[in-house]
Amino acid sequence: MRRRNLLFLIATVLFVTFGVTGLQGLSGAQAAEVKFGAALPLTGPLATEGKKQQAGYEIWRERVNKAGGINVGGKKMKVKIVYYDYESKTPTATKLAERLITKEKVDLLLGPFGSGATKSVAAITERYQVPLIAPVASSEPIFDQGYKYLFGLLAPNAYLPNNFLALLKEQKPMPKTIAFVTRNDFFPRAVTRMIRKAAKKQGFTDVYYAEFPKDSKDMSTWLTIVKGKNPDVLMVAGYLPDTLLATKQANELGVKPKILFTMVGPVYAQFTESLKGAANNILTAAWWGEALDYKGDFIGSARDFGKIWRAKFKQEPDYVAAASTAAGIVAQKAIEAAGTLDKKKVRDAIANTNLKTFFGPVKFDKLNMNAASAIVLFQVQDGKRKTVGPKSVANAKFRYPR
Amino acid sequence: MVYAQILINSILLGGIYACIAVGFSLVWGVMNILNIMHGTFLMLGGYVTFWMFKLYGVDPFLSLPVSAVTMFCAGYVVQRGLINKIVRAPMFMSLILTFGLQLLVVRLAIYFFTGDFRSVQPSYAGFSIPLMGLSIPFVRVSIFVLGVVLTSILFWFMGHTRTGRAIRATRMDLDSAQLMGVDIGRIYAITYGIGAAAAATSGSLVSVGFAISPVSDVEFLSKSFIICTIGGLGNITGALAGGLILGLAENFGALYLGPGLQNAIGYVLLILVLFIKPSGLLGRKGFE
Repeated sequence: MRRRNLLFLIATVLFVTFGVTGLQGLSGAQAAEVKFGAALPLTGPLATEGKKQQAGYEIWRERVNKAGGINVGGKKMKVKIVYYDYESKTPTATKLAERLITKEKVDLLLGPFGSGATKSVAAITERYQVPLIAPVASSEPIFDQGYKYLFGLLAPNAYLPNNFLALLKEQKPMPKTIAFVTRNDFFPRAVTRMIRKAAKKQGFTDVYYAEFPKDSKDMSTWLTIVKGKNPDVLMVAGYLPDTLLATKQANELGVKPKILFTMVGPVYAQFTESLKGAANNILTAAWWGEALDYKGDFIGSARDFGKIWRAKFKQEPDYVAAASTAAGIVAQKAIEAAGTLDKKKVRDAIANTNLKTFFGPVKFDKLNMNAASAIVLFQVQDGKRKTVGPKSVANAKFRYPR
Repeated sequence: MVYAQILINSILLGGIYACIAVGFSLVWGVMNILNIMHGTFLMLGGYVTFWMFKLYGVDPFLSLPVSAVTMFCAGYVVQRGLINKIVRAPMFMSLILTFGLQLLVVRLAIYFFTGDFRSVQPSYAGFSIPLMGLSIPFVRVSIFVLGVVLTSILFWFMGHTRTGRAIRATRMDLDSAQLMGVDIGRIYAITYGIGAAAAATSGSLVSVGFAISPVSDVEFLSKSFIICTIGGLGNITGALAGGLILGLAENFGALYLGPGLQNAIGYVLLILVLFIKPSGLLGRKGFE
């Protein structure tokens, strides 16, 4: 009797774990839809970013489905996106990506937020050979791992130093000394070190370098030291709360470099909203802005995307949102070019992408990074972001000194 | 000159820290509750100030009473309705309950306020007073002065009013206080309310000097914890001393060891104090 009960129990467990998923797989295979998956930080510290990404993906999905869906080898298929919340914890993102692939059987993954999470998820998509289009990752160390199924939409970080230093050299009198301060975190540190190295090579004097911890609540000490060194340029790298606090305290302590360059801060609408006048003439860099002269057939121009976004959220869109919508477009065009949902063929089609979009040109280099795109320098002028570099896209004169 | 400026920065920061920790120390000392909600009340107080400034243009320093009164009421109700049920249970229970409430409130705050970082920027924000080559940031000085004034008022309240004395009596000897006719339930609720109001006031001040978001509550909570442990629990001077010590240690630590270790210094200090004088520098035995 007992043994039979045990066997029954085992059989039930086996059925529940394998049988049910098997059934799911069957029903999934019959549906005439293209299934995308995205693990996003919808709660936790990165929730704002995650929701922006989701909104970006949704703008694309709604538009495609309104037009009947994606044309897969002559058959129109609607798009479905399965979202999972990784609660701003990278290890969870990895697990959920695996679940999206094995349980939900998605055809393609849209990226999580940031370089760190993208790197972890890419290891999974590579193992299962599922294409991953990452809209918000730009650090080279993610893309030089030889991953074949990972594609990044942002221009490589390496573009930034040259643009930035070129702008400095155009100024009269030319700034000579730079102080660097960065949050000790993956992306800010990578960007700062890159610019610092290039600046040294190009003859600038580096008067100070320091790192501050995350959740920093007081920046007065290093700001006081920087004030004593009186550099022409101060670069502060970190995330929104860091750059917000640094700008506030720099004002209070009377730290007045000729150029204040912060990454990332003024890219976000909340930065200018919170700081108002104190944000004026701060220089920053980003991968996209609605003032840029980009155009494509799906959304229209960068400004058109701005209009769509404003109508929904009453806020200026930033590159995170735009890149996410663009990720959908790239996936759609590649599936249409491949004419099938076969993952290997879709991957090859993505690799051959050569598109003009509202987000800018998309073309992948050897590392599968979007080498055709640019990193643009913005300056906050009277509360508005103006494009001041590189020269090819600038639409306003850089105000110097600050 | 750099030293003098950093000394000033440290004292101003220490004043804010002290203000942040006072309410936490009070609740912990009197009720033996590790109040995880402390950072949450602080965050909510910050949002009261932020929204009043953003929607109605109310000066952040004028909205202090509003944020204090609303959070006093919220704290009173939370204590009477929920925390009171476990006040006799082991300390672990109070941790679980307040932690659960904290999760709930923070999630709701993200839902309603979004996870964006916000900061109040009145017109006089960047203004600083020059003094012999040093800059004294006006906003920080105001925060410091207000923090000290409010803490003094609390100090006076605890020593010179009937309710204050009842709170102290309850802390010292629960049973005797009860025998003397102190309504313990009411005293607990008032204490918790005062703790919440103190947290909210400091949150209002923080929203001007720093940036707030629904998830920044934990950072301030951990600061409160360090300050109380360093200074000693249950008395207001302990929180003041702990705040100033932490402010000085963080800033001078950053100067000599680099800004990267600024946050770590607080924890090193915490461990040192626990080794040398577990009741805190100004704490009395029996409160650890």
